[in-house]
Amino acid sequence: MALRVRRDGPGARLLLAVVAVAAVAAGVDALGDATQTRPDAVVAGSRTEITLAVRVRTPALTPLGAARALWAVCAGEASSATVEPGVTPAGDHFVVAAEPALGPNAWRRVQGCLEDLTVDGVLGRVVAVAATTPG
Amino acid sequence: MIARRLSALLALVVLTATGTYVFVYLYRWEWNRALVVGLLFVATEVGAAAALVLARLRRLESALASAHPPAPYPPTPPRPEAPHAGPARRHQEATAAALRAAAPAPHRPFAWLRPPDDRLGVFVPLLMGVGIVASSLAWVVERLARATAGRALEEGLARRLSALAWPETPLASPPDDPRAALRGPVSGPPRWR
Repeated sequence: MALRVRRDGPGARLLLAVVAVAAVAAGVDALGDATQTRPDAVVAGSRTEITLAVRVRTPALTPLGAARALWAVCAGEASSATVEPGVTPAGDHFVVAAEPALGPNAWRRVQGCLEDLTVDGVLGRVVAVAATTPG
Repeated sequence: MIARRLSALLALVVLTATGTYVFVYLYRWEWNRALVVGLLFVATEVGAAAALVLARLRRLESALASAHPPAPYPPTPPRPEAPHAGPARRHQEATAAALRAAAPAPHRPFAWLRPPDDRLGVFVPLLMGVGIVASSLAWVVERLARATAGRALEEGLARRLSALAWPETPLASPPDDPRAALRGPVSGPPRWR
């Protein structure tokens, strides 16, 4: 027997309210998942190499100094150690490596920090990122 | 009306975009941008809310004005001259004079701050005099204490510090052979007291 619900009856309103509450709860849960961060799995011996471009709007910093300042601030977002010698120029860009390789959550934090207006007058942009694993 | 609708549409678009980008920037972990966009969202929200309230007030004003139209002003009667004033005018003037005579004394707020009319202001000179006398007394007490308390305080301090003085007898008896400690562990009963 088919269950019939009137469109303007109290059952329809209750069903609509339940669906709305479920949709809002699912949306809040998805937003919470998307905006949270978690620890990543560590792969020993792996490495992440980041190529960075910077735009400097302050005369107090050279591009290399700006890139180093930006990485000094944002390295704290990564749970990896910076590979010596740190930020080095590579053409118009700058390269820095971290070991072990950054996981997806750590990379999201680092990229957001680098491309956010973290240092006054310095705007970073990630040009390329490459992860290498042992073997 | 078109401008108002365009403003409302613009506010809606800005609210939607900024509200969405708050979460986009949070997802990208770009906190500074998220803060700026959130600030824009709040500013637009305040502006839209103020516009809604003002529109509601305008509607209320127009509704009140249509419900209670202002009464037309009555024609101003010609003012009669005083010597030839009628009994109604004289009665009105008498009433006004009685009201003026029965009016209470004007209220003087913060009367204690006003300088009195019949007294000289002696508070500040009195305060200065008391300050001079107190300073003089303090100077005398300080001089007296410097002349008399130093010796007594030093004696008391020396008495208290005597507990820290070196004992008159040594803490350890002198070794029989000063080079014995160089040859090996010290044997025998401890010499420390």
